[in-house]
Amino acid sequence: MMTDVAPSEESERSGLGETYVRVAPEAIRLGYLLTGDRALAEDLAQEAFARFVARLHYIRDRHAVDAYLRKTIVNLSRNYFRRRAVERSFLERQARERQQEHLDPDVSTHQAMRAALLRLPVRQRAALVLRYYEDLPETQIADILRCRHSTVRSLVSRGLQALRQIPEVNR
Amino acid sequence: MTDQTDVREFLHRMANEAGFAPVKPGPVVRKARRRMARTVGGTLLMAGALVAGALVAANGLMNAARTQMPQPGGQPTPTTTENGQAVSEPYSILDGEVTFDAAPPWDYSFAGWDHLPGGIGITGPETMTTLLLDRNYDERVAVLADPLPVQTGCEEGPAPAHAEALARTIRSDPDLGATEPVSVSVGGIEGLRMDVVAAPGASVCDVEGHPQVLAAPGLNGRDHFGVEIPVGHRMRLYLLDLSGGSARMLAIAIVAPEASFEHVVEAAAPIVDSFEFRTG
Repeated sequence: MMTDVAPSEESERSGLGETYVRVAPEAIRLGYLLTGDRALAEDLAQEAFARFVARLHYIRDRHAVDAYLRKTIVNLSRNYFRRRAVERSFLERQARERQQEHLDPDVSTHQAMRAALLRLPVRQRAALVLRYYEDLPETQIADILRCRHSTVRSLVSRGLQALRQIPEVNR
Repeated sequence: MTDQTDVREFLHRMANEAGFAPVKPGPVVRKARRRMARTVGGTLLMAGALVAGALVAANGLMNAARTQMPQPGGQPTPTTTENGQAVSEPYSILDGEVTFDAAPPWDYSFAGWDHLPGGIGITGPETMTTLLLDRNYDERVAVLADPLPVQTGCEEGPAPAHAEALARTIRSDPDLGATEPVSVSVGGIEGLRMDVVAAPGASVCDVEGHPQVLAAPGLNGRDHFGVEIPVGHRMRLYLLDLSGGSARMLAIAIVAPEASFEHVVEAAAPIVDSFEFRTG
């Protein structure tokens, strides 16, 4: 989904802001799908962009900014969840959300689906988002997640299966 | 609601649900420029500098604790100039984040070991006591200063007095299975080596559903970094006592699936062998 933006030499010096404005929205959306947190998604997008700019002189294919940002955001989100304090709060939040869902029988399918997506293991969620939001082929997803093609298929399949098993989603 | 079309539609709706505000590029561009200047102007040290950075940050005792990583040509990364002067510190702190002066990722010489694109190790902001190298998603080497045990229920245990105490704590944890520690020497420092696995039904400590063995505190004292051990994986754990400095202990953990464990340990051997500790 990210626009293929090729930063020119000019943009390296004076057009970085313009480049960021162009690529950031999609980067933020991707981060949001992976984390469910708008502010965090923007942080991830900014960090990914900063890393991209820092590596401009070393990146062989400068046209690959979209791919670079995508890969960095996926990995940053994964590392974010690795932090124990974050993990704890995330797990607690999940528990609260499950409790709220139980108390509220009128929760919309969309909300249930959203909660279900965010309850998936990080890698399954990333595989689903990259496959069905970014519309990436398995080869690229495998590269981003650093796994085999068969693993990508398995992750997507298990992610879908997990969603199907959630009662609220299938009502 | 869960066929592929529905999932696709749902994801697009969710992606737009937050109503993204116009992006203000100013702060991020300034941050990016500083980062770029730092990176471009930096000394081109290889990945050995990374571990050195983590250790230097952790060790007041040692002016430097570095890994010497074999470069593609087989030569170790120099730690001094031709005149015998120490090279500049391989890391710095910029905007609260550790920034290493190092070669771009694809120049790192631990062939086969991967890490984040654009990132160096996987320390993350405010966490400079941890270094993580990935080969695949589930094959990794983690280096932690002053590790804390993660005990049953995912609670962090008290800081161990020494490597032997930490080894005992790990062995007594019902969530973990561990071999008897054996004496080893890493970089000239005597330590312990043990293998650790997750016991069936072990406490789940991260969002991916894995138990954790160790945690390293971040600089802010809150965001602890956990080293997980998925069921079906094995961890080769080195515990080294570092006397006299701000960091008392160093842990090196190699984690991989059982099926590929020995191969991964073999692949990680150059990393472990490359540690070199300096005092004075």
